[in-house]
Amino acid sequence: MTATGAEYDDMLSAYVDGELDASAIAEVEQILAHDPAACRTVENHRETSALLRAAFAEPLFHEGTERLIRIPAASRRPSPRMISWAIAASVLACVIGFGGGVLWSGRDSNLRMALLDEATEYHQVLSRETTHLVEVPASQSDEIRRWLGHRIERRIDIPDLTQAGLDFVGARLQVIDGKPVANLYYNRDRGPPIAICLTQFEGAAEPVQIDRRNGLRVASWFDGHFAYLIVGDLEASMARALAVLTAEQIRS
Amino acid sequence: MTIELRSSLTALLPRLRRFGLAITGSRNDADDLVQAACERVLMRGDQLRDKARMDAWIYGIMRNLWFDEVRFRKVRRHDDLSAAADVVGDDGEATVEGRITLAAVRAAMAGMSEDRRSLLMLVCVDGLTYQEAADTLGIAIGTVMSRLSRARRELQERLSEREVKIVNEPIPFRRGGK
Repeated sequence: MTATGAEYDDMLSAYVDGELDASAIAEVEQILAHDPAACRTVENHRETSALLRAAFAEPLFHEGTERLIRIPAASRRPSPRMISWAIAASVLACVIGFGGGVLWSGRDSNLRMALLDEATEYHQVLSRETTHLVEVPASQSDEIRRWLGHRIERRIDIPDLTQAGLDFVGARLQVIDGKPVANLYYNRDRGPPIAICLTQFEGAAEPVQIDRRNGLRVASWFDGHFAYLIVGDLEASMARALAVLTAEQIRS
Repeated sequence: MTIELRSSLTALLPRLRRFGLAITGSRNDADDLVQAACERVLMRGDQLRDKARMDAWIYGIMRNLWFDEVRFRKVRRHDDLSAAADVVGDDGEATVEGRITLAAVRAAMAGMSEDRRSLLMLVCVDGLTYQEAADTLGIAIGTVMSRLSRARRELQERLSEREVKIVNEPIPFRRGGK
């Protein structure tokens, strides 16, 4: 073998990993037959791999993984079949002259409730985070506008809510029902953070409505193309005030 | 996202978390990273080319996300990789000596650079081929080969410093060939 010291070592390491071709394997095995030091190196490499596999065995990482992925609760949403049925029924009702609006508003209502459920459930968990609340900090506001604006295909305006005692701390991308949701986070002196959530949502425009979901207050409104949510542990009056402040600053 | 993809993703979570720990060196950061990666996967499931290597695809996503994060933070932490076992408590190690040894392996890994840690995790623990590891890490296969060899050496030296007996004492680098 004419390899240099480093190449020689690389080769033994690759031999242990089964990454050599037949001729290289034969070459290494010929060396191993006469070189005790090479044998020890190979043994050490194998033992090191075994120790690593034991030290980082997969079962060590199982516990609590269910909270790492948010699997949408299908039962809370109308199934595609239900939606298809609603659309078909709506078209039929329009043809015969009545009832379509009722079906559509029912579908919208279900989807809106599902959106509120998902957003509040997510916030309930995430708002406990202190150091890892956001993916992109407020110091990167331009990046937030560019990144999230691109994701949800609209201009992102970051509302200034300091007059309500809220400081913008950054943003995070969430996914609800396969759609990206831009979440803007604000800290306050007392109480956990609050989130402003924006996502595409086709449906009838609706004014601000205050709900309580998953133990949190949520103010929501819809402009026909986008949904806007304020989520947090808030008094109803505060939620409404924040919705007004936000709506004034976020352009449709 | 299909049910199949969702199910595959769920099954991969422990491994994603483990790789997250290798990259970040922190279990909290690892969990955040896995969450963020899952969000991306949920959005980009249609971009998965090789279902058999979904893990490598997500590892790539995780690395990109982490590098973005590091750029924001301008700091890397290696504070609690050695506490991997604390994530779940009892890992079934049979003896106290075994526990000490495995704890030393984790501690030794925690002291290594992210690129070496990631490579050891991908090849030695996850069993990726050099080509798969190269694709995941965005480096040449030759780099995988040399970096891995050096990573092994470093790990063995660190274990030796911690008086962990492997099989033999690490053998010094050979100079000038056989």
